Amino acid sequence: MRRFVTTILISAALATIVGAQGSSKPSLAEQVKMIQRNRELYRIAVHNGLNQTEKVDPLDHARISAELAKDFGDEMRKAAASHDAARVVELGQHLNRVVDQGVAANLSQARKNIKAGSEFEKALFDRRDQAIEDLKSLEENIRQNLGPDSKEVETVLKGLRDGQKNIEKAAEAK
Amino acid sequence: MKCKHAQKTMLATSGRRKLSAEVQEHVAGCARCRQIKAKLTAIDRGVFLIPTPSATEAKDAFLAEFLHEPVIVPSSGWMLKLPGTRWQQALVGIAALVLVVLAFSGVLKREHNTPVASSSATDPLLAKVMDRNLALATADSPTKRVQTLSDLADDLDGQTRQLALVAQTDDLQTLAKLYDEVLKAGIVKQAGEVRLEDRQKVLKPIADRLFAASEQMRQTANDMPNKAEPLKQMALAADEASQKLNILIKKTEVAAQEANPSRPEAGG
Repeated sequence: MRRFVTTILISAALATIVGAQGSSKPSLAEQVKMIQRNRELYRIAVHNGLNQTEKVDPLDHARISAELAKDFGDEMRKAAASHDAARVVELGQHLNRVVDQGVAANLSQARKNIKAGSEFEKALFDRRDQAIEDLKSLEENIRQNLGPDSKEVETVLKGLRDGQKNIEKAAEAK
Repeated sequence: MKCKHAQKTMLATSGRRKLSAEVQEHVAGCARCRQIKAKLTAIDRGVFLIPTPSATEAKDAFLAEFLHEPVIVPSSGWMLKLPGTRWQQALVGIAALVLVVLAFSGVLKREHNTPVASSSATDPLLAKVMDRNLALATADSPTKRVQTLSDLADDLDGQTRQLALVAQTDDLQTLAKLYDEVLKAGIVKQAGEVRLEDRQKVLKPIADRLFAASEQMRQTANDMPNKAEPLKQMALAADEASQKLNILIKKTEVAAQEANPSRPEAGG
């Protein structure tokens, strides 16, 4: 009896640790559902990546990453409209990485070789303004539909605000 | 011999019950013990059908309940020795199980303002595809691009084979099409941009991996005839890409040999 109870209690302790670690790897059945739901996003992300391989200019890379961010933003709007906070959070995490590592990082790289007052600078500012406008609009949309009703959603909203600042900063003259 | 002793001996004997002559003699003459022996034999046969391994304690508890009398009397000092031990045990067990259920359901997590945390897990394939996309967005050489595309192909290949048994054919078809595009419009195309001196080193491992992937894909297709079509398409795409990379490597070697006849041939 003592061993039985000890086993149960140890299991409970382990389960607490596992439970506290958040979501675990999805089961095969869950992964099948994910494929059905996300296959358009796979296609968008893969094609976007292939487009990236065609370009060498950081300004082009920034534009292509901004297109991907916009596509993810559209999907997040749909999720927010149907009050699917979990999907908003998942996609928001990806989008924020695209903004930071794809858009802002490439704008910053491009900025190094662009002279003030040049046509390229105008193109750079256009990219910056468009990306920031898209992020602002998305932030507003999510706030209206979901609000900061959870820590994760608030983290995503903060990521969108930080992304706007990073893009602004990346385009500044060095 | 008393029934209690015979029953304890039978319970203490696992597997095929090779009982002593004394016990067998008692069992032969005791209807109750014969019945118990028959049930124990049935349990021994049935225990192999239980899908999960059963702990000795659980088995003992089960057998004790089966015989309507406790076999193992708890001797621990921390439990109060009150009458009605069985319901006490059950209560402790239930409490512990409730604890397990609560723990797994996340109720005991410290942060309670997290309605999102209890929702479904994140998509691992989407995460991988996004990782590769970001790597391509900042890749500054054809070598990095072709290696990242190769990793992306591996991700798609691995996921497709992992889910082949349970996924719908049209979902597999989607993955197969993306795989094909990554190989043809990505790897093979970018391979020609890799510096001549790096081609052998960069492309050969990728060609070998694609060849191995095509073999595994064909094997999986053979194992699952109803899902074979997308898997065969992927196997064919991997095979063709592997061959094209090997041809490119060979052409590069020949060109290098012609440009510098004193240079030894690769592998020679």
